[in-house]
Amino acid sequence: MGETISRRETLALAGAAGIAATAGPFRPAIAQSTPTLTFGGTIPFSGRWAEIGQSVHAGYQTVVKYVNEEQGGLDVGGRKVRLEIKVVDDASDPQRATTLLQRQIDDGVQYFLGSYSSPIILPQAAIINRARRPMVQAGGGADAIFTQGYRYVFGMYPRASRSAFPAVDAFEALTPKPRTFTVVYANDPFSKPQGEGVIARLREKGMEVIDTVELPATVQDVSAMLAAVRAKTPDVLMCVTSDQTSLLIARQVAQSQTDLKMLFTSLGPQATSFREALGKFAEGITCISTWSETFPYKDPIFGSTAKFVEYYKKHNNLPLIYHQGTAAGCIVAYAWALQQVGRVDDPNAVRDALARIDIESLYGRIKFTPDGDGDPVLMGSSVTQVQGTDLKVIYPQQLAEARTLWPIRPFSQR
Amino acid sequence: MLQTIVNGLLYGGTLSVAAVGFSLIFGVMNVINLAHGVFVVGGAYAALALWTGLRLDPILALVPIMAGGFVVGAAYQRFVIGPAVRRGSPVAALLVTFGLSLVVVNGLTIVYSSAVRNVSPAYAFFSVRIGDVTIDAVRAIAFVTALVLIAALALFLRTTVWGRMIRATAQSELAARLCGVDARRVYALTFGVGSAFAAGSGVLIGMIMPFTPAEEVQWTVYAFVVVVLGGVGSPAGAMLGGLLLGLAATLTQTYVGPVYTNVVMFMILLAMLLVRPNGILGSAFRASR
Repeated sequence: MGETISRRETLALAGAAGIAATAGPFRPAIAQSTPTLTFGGTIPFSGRWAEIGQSVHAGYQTVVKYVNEEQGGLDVGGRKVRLEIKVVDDASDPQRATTLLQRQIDDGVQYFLGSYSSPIILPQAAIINRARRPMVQAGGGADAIFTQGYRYVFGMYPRASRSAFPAVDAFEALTPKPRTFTVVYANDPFSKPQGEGVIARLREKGMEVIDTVELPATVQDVSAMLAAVRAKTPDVLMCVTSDQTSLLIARQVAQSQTDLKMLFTSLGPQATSFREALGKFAEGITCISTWSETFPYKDPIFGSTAKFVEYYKKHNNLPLIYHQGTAAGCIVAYAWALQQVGRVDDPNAVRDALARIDIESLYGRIKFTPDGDGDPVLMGSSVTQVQGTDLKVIYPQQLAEARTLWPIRPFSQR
Repeated sequence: MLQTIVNGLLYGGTLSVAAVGFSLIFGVMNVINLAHGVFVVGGAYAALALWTGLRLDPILALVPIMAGGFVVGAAYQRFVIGPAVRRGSPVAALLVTFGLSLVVVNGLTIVYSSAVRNVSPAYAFFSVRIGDVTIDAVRAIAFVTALVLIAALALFLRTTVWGRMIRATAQSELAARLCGVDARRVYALTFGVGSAFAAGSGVLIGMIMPFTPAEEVQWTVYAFVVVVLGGVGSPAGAMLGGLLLGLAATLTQTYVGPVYTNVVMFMILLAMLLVRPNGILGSAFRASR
């Protein structure tokens, strides 16, 4: 007769088996016992900025996923802290965005990430500042966000009026140097100060601005404007416009065979759909990009830009563009600031740490001006140009992937 | 000056064809179709899908897309707008059209994203130079197509039995019913024709300028301005309104400044509402109502 199992042992084994069987479901409960730090905010998951909103969200989420899953949380004051993002859809609507943000503040969220577009960030900035909760954002560059004394809002870009300086500097570095410029800008909270900044920078560099054109925020036809450009053709046409207006201008430039030595559009060529819509006529168009996956930087979380890119591509289907890089930079900045403070319940101290940050990251250097926007030199954009079907970094020199096509092939000969 | 006028007329042709469906529905049914822009943008995306998927030229794609617009529009009137008007009021119909536009815009965003799109056939980048005047081929093609479509609609309304029934119902639904006209069918037909023209205009717009799902609002607004300017219910009114508005836009761009284009367009709207609220040609059906 073999060994018998008593009733008490049977019950004990059954109990142990039961615990073993249910151990899986209990695991999250154990994980949840780790302190959690929540980043709140709104994102345009729908509406006009939906596509970019999804890219921004993917950038945020990638860093959080890496920290939680690969590093077991963020090390803050000797304890692991799990990061969590709770952002809600603002539908690209500033009014809705402010209401939703206020609700999160009322619910006690202490740290905020940015939405996308200056018209949304601007009213949110006032609310954030009043509530004394920090926001790090990569979506709003309008000067007004940084010139009204808001101490709690930090932007990953230089303010709009300084953000296109690298393009002017890139053109100044060309040989032969372009002589004449026409600057077109849209009358919206971002493009107008950006365009005015470009004009001021060109004049400061001693380059001749032969014409300036202010367009409405949305425009359906620029043929009359281009007739004026043809009548007084500049070497470089600089368009500080939304991606949609940029595409309209580029199309009509090509259609009307307006031969320029260089066409610059601040937004547009970054998107694959823009380059596809123009086909061979996209070749040579330049733009600014705040981030490129080819950047050679070191990063305190991932190790380097390249490793971030590798991790992102492994876990996301959304094409990697500069918005993911800038958004990821926001979390990296927060992580550094939280680690400096050593605790998660002091948003004022985290704000102060953000104000003095000066680190290299996957995004590049992160250092804010006293007004909260990105340092115009250290966090300035790179200049990129469509070459073949891709965008290549052409400026600054130390990041350049390709030589600048200059002058570009005339549109009438394509 | 000549270049500006040519540009204005070409742009105006696009505005005309985008507004004619709105005008017809407004004139005949007294419904302000806030989903009008959705049909325009929907036509543009349909052209994009046929171009990228089957390499079907956008001009040829007008036929299936307008047919699809007709079917969807007629069904929409029959099963959504009609019941809303009968059970509620024209205001209920207004809200329904607004709700539909929200649903469709977000649906298009999910499918196509909010990235800027364009339909780019081979001739999209050609232009012709006549003397000092440059004419974009694609705009000229769109303009001629718009003229043909609007002329065809005018002929349809004037010479066919169904056209006469539409006009009769617009003038007096009761009288038309007494003469044996099935008003519910006529309304579905009208909405179908209006939607077909909206979708067709979207094809032309998609060739000329970049579009996104969110664009629909502005095409509804422009249609409204064109109709107020030219007159309600008639293809001729839409044509006149569109051409005048196009000219006003390009003249303003050239001689006042591009940033004032919308200001001038909406000043015209305001002036017309104050001075001649039925538009230059008046309401096509008002005299007999």
